[in-house]
Amino acid sequence: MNLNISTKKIHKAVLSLLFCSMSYLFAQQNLISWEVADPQLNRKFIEMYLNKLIENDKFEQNSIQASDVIMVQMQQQGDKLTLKRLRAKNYDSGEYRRFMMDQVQKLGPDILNTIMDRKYKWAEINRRDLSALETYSNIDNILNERSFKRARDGFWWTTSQVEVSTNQSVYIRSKSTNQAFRLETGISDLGLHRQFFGNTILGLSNDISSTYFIVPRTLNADKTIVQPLDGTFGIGFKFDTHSIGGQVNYMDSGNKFKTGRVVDEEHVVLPSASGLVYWSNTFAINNFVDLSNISFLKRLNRNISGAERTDEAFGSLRLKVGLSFTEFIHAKLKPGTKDTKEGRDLEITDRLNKVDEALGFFVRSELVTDNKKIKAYAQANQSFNGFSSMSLGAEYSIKVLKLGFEVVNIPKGSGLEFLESNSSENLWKWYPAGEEGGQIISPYISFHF
Amino acid sequence: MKIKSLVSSKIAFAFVFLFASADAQEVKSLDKRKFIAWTVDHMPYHILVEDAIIDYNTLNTLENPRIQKKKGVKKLPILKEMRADDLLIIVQQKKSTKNEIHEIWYGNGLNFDIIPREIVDWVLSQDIQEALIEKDQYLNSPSDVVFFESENQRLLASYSSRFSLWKQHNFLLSTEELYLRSNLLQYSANFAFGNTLVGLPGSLFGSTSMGVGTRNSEIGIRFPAPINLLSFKDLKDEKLLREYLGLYSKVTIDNMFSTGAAFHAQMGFSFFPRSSTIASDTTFFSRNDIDPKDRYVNIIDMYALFAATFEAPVKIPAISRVTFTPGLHYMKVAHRTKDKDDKLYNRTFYEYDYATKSYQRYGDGDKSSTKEFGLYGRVDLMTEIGVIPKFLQQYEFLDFITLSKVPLFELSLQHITNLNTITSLAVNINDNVSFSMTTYSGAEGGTVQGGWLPEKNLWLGVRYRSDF
Repeated sequence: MNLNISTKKIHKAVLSLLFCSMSYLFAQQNLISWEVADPQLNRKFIEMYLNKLIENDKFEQNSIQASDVIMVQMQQQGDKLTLKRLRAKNYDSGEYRRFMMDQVQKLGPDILNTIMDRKYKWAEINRRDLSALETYSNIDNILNERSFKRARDGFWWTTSQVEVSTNQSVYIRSKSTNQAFRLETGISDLGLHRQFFGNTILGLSNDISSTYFIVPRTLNADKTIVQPLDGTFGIGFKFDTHSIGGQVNYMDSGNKFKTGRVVDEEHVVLPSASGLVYWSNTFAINNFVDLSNISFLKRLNRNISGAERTDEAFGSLRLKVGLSFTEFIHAKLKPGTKDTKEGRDLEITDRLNKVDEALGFFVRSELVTDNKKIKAYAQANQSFNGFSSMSLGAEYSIKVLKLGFEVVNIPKGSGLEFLESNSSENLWKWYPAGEEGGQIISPYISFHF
Repeated sequence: MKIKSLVSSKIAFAFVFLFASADAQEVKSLDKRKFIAWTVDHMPYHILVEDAIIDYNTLNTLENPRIQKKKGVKKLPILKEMRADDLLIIVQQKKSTKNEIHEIWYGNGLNFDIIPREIVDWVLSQDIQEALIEKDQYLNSPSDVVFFESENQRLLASYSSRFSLWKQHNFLLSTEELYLRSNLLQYSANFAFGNTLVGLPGSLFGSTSMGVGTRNSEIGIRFPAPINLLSFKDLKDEKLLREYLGLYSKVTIDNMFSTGAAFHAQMGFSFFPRSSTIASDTTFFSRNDIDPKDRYVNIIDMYALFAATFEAPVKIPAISRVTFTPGLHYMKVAHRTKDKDDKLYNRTFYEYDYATKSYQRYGDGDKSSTKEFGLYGRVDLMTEIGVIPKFLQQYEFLDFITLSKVPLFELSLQHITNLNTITSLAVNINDNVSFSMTTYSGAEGGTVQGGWLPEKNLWLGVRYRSDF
């Protein structure tokens, strides 16, 4: 019996609690809050208020100053719209002060209506301001979301108008038309990094999409690389929006290959067709870690434009997760003369393009600080066929100069198995950095303006 | 009685017209030399402005008793609510010492509402304005909507080009494609049966493509499921393309380098298995017991199109727009023979010539693929939007045709050297439904050999467009 009563009581309590929270939530939805951003109106209203206090001999109880900024909160209940709260915010001390509402009412309808009509410059109020208005919000400031573009631009093309780098990339961006010329090497999103892939990308981009030609390039590979990928002529498209992105590339294995222009005439490995689709999201990194106490980061954060609005925001972290599909072919050059100008056809011996051979995973995180001085990334590609690569890099900007490095890691055993010829079932294994794998560190300098 | 009903229907029509007219503000064009304008493609900012308009209306509506009490105060215009699929256009003065928003336009097609400079500060907070004016910091695209001198121009501009990846309506179903667009997510889903733009309508394309699109890009998968609807004449099924799974992508760059021309590119390819032995004559078929349907297998290894569309500066009576699209076209076809184990063999020939007693081959040696590299040309014409030519108005049986946002006729002529010529005529019977006829004629003596393309064909089509 007692147990029943107490259960009922608990149910009642839970229900009342739910009801209260729901009412509270609904009440919250009908509040409109803002900060008066018109300095003349701020001063006029507070001066009138202070005069009223003097007139009514209440000035001694006052803490509001003429330089304070007014915060207004209106409440809509049915057809009625009423002034719910009024506060004064002091930007120097960070304090919030209450108006004596009985004195405010005595100021007369004209000035009060002016304040409530909001026909003047006004500003958003942040989460802290809301708490001063005794309203609480767990909604992130939507204005922080613009950092997505900042994070994206840093890797999509450049945040400057011209950027030339020793990492074999050039971007010339016209800000008036939002279009750019791009030159890059490798297809890094697919894990085919420039350090072991002999190709160059020449393209035209806008904010979202890019179309480019792929042309072969003579690769001066690091000693770590035993067998780089060959490149040939082709085309590719890619696009990147705030939540999804992707690319497709095609290199024509029917092209002629010149003697001496391929790494090994008997073993030409070519990523002839590829595609990638990914989902991405951008986070303000202060959501995870409080970096405000690190003095080095404090210094970096000093001259951030708009830093006041986003308060603790330090940078943007973008995460990309996707699936890739890459067809690798193995071929050998058909017999020809030693004339280096002669083009020779490929004899394709194997194509790895079944789902379990070509499908792979792609994960990448990109970090750009709000002041655009630092950017860094880490990426991993793993395909079912056994080829994988990892890379990370960072870059620091000093005026027109950027200093950076990239580390590309090809793990032990990362490679592919191909049929060596059309006449036998012998397998040939392609290990770009040898069976033991390897690591390449590539520093670079960029100039941008 | 008849007169009465006529009068009442006219009054009703007048009311409808009045309401329709009052739906949006009358907009005036701005001088392109003095202003720049762009659409906000970043949905969080779109939502901010939607909410700001709602708040502004709440503070200034007639339901607000405080406003009613104020005597002598002129009623403020209440802003029309902004919808999720409305275009949001920011206008800024080019040469102004103030870095501020001049006007905000929102709406679609002809129905645009304007927030003038005088009340921008009242509707939007300083923070939102700062964020919106910094166009380098979010996704946006240039907009010409505010610069058009007449409503007709604005209507024309909003009428999708054949190359547009972002259609005017968010739902389109036709005998060639199914297009669905989300108003909130800013993405679209597209299913296409055939690809007339690359010269391969219906099942000649050999696959059905399914992809996801943004305003100016699309990426997707090509499925080996060719669909041919309302097609007439022989498509040479025995030599028709066999497709494997593949990928495709399309890209559009509008107003390339401020020239007014739009750049379009698309490509697709197939993932087909390796081939071993070479089939160099028909004895191979009997020796290996090859099924007749698998003897002449043709696969689209890859296709690509690069083109630029621009409006021609020509004025033809009753024609509202003429666009030219020159470009480059490329296609590579792999020729194979398939055995009963689905194993592919390179096939170097396509026919036996009894006159010369020799095999027709794709090239010297053991070449088993065809590359076709051609020039691309396309002309699109459309009649005036919402206008039925006078010579047709006299026929009463055509009264069922009612147009306001579409042209009556759309005509196109497309030629790809060494491949084919395709002409198409579409007739819109109202703003949503149209019927079309597409004719195909293959190029004689072209580089695409092997008889896997028909000499002639005809497709009829139906298209339904609407908004959810």
